[in-house]
Amino acid sequence: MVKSFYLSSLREGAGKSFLSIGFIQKLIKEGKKFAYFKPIGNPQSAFTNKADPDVAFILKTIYHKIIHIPQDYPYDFISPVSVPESYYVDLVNANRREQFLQKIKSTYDKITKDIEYIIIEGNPSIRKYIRVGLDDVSIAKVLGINEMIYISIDSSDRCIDNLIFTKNYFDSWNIGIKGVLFNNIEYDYIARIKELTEEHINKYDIPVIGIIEKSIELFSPRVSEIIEQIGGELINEKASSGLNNIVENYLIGAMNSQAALKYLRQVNRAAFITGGDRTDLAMAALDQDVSALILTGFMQPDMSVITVANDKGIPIILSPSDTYTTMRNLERLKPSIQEDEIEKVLELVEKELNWDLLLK
Amino acid sequence: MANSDISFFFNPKSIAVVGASASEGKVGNTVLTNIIKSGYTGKIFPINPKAHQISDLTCYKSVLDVPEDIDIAIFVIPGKLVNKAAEECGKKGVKGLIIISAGFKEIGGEGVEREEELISISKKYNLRILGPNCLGFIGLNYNGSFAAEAPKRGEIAMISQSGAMLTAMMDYSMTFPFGFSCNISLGNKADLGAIDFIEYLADDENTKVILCYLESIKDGNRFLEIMPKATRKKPIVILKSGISEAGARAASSHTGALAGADIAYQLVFEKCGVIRANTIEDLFDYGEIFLYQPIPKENSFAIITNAGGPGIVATDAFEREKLKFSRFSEPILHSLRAELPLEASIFNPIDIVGDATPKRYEFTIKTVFGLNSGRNLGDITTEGALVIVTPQAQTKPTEVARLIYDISSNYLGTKTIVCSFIGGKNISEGREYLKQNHIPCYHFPDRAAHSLKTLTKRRNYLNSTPLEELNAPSFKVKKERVKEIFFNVRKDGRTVLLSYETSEIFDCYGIKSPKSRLAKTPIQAMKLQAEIGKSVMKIVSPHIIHKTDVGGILLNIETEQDAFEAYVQIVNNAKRFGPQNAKIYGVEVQEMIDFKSLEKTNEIIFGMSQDPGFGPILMFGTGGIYANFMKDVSFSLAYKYTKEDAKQQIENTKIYSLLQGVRGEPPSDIEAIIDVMLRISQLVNDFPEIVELDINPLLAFVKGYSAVDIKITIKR
Repeated sequence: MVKSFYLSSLREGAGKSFLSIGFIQKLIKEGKKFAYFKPIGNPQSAFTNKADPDVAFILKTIYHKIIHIPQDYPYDFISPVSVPESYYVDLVNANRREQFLQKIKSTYDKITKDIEYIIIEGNPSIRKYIRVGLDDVSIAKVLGINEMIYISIDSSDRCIDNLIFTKNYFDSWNIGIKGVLFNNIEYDYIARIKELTEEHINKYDIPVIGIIEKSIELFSPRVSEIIEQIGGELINEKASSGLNNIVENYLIGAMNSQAALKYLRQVNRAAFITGGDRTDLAMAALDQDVSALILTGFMQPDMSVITVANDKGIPIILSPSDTYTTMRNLERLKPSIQEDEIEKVLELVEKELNWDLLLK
Repeated sequence: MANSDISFFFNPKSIAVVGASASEGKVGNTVLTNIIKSGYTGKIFPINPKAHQISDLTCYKSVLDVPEDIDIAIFVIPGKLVNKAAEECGKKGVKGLIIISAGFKEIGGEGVEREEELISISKKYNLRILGPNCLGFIGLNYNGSFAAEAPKRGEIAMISQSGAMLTAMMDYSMTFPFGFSCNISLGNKADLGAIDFIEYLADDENTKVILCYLESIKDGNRFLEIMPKATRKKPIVILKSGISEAGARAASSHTGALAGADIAYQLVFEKCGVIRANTIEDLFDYGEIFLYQPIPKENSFAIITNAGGPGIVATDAFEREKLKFSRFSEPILHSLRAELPLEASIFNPIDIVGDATPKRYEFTIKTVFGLNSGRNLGDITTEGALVIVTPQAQTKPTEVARLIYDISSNYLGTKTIVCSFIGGKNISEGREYLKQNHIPCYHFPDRAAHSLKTLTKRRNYLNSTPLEELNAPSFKVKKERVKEIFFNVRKDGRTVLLSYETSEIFDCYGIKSPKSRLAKTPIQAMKLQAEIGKSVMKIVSPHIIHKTDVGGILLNIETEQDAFEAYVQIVNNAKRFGPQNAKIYGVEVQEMIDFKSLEKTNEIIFGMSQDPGFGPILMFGTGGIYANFMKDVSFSLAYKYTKEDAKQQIENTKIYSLLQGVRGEPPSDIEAIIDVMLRISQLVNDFPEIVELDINPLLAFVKGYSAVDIKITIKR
């Protein structure tokens, strides 16, 4: 019988796609027969592109490039149903629900025939689609799965409350927790989780599968993603190699350059946001560890700024909005894993998770 | 291995001029004509593929066609042709090249590549190169430059990084009586630099003083090795330009920020006995005085003036330059009193008043130097004198000048004399007379004092122990463990050490710092507090530099419960106010030194920043949170850092008087502080990967000390 890793979480943005990429690679490395399954995909736009971006990424970088599954492998085998993020309540009536669940079940049966493991990427949260009966528990029931991996991303004692709440909820549906996986945990909280494991989690007999530290590198956007997010324009083509730069921090320069230095020195690989007319600040920033300059108000900088940025390969981006709006847009940016990062994902997942427990 | 003998540049047996030209006005023609006109007695080979004969000399298509050996070749061809010709010179066995041609590093892009290729040719053939992009070389035997006019021959060697500056200085020098043993234009310094020539000139019998104009020094280690030996042999004066704050701007430590970009040069020059000129005028003043005047045995001078005002101005200048007045013996004072008019002041500075005649000057000078025959004048402590002349009715400046020259050349021997003839028309003849007769004479007393000061500095240097004989103390330390800590820090992807790591490093080097441990959870903090006792708790994050600014420090943690709460508060504060994504390792629980209960505590800063050329620079001064504003600091090179250096460094600050004890306070444990300074010096010399180190504050107690807050940054 196929063993399942059903990844679920109480909170959205728990890193299920990230973990799926890690799980898939680990199973490849172990030479296991497996499949990846995301019952419900969330297309970015129902009209222009039906594909869920995470599914599309896995198809492209792993299925096609690593395990060489033919290009015509049906997308639906990975993600049979697509439901939008919002406005879905009216779309999914009882009929549709049945159709969807059946489609999920039949695809699942098809792809699990000859495999040992299946990685199921659950909905954004266990609450999601509960109104229309397409939530994780409903899907698990249809698939005959009675254990889930619970992913926790709280770097605070709230993690214990959420874990117990989820356990109680699952209990009421006769679903067990295969283990808790702490993901994207701030470094300072790791020791605390170990304390909590001993004092609290162990009491409930829930195994801790692993603790993955928040990786600034993996969860930081590239300059190219920033340009897209803010609708900006690169004005120094000569520094286009810097589009792949990682941005770990944002810093807004509004004070004088001497005062800004104090903050600039404290951060690495920052995107420095300032007005296009602030030559002094731009020059001070270019002297420090910056990944990009974002100049707001669509104001062209002084030639000297462009010259230095070109020399150092630092992209200068003109943002069409004011500084606050630019920053707000950036806060909404959810960076995704890049193709050149998947090995790092494997490294992390392999090192931090208890694979003896998982593959048992 | 490069040929270290570069004597062929000074005494070449034969010279090839690659790119020699018959057309007047072309550089190739000027250089060839300059060599011929300078009376060069060796062989000259013009090289030009298009000519058969230039200036009655047989011309060759290439150096390879010259039937005889060539010592040096001077290049005046376009930059892009240089490397091919250099290769030919290498094959020919030419020893040295003087490349006047431009079009190298200075133009960037292809020029940089061209220069790199030239350097590899130089290494391949063991070919020493002066330039490229230089004015040339003017020696006693030949003028291998395109300078319009060669300076006088003499005993000063002049080395300049800028060709234009060299021509300007050569022209300026025409107004001085002295001449040059060589004028060397360094250009881009692709191969040979100032240090190479200084090393040679230090043993050159024709050179008494070396003057340099430099914009940068390429090899700091070599400078430290060669210069101390060279400066023992003759005075070396360097005008170093290009003082920039760019380096300091990027510094993140207190030491780096306070040091500035120029401090390294200042320290290195002092350590190596190099005299630093701040202006071109200084450069020539120093050159003149070193060439013509003896170095006084002591800092003990007399001022003789015929006017009160200039006497006071000179006294002020002496004060500024820390020059000391000699004390006259009783017999000298009696003699002066007996011979000088009543209104004269017989004490140093001596005012022989406005109606002073040449005779009165003669009498006074001779008396202070103990030269008046037939009289016992007791102890003569005057080692030098500044004679001031203002044009009064009876003065006769030219006659005074003649008398001074007479006394100086016949009687003074090892004693120094300089003059200041103040005025214009009436004294110009006297001033010119002195100048031509090798007695430095300045328009105003300030410059005279400045030059005398330089002589005393030289005397102090010559009296000090040579650098090569000095050895920094060596303590028994746990170097291997420190290596291990650095390895782990790098493995963690960090460059800034955390406090519990710095605390262990200090322990390995025998420096006391308060007991400190890292807590990763509030519960751990409680346990550590119970173990350590009264504590101060500090955020531990490589990204948080200014802990106080983010509320990352809490003092007086007296109970376990306090420690729990402090942990939570500090971490929350750091997350709210610290930089985004700051990685928090936990909170350090550090033993709290209750220094307020101690008799006396002084906050000191001691730090190190790396100079890219000259290595670690140590800084000592007033510490605490106002360190950067007080700027009460002094610096020293960590290179051969001795107890004497540490002592001197402390004495150069204002906090020294507080450490000695004021208002009835007992003195602080200065010996213990010196011990820390020496141990830190050993640490930073042992580990060049330490780029910055700050202890602020280092608390100095009446007995002992404590290094409270330590920051160490290492190279990636």
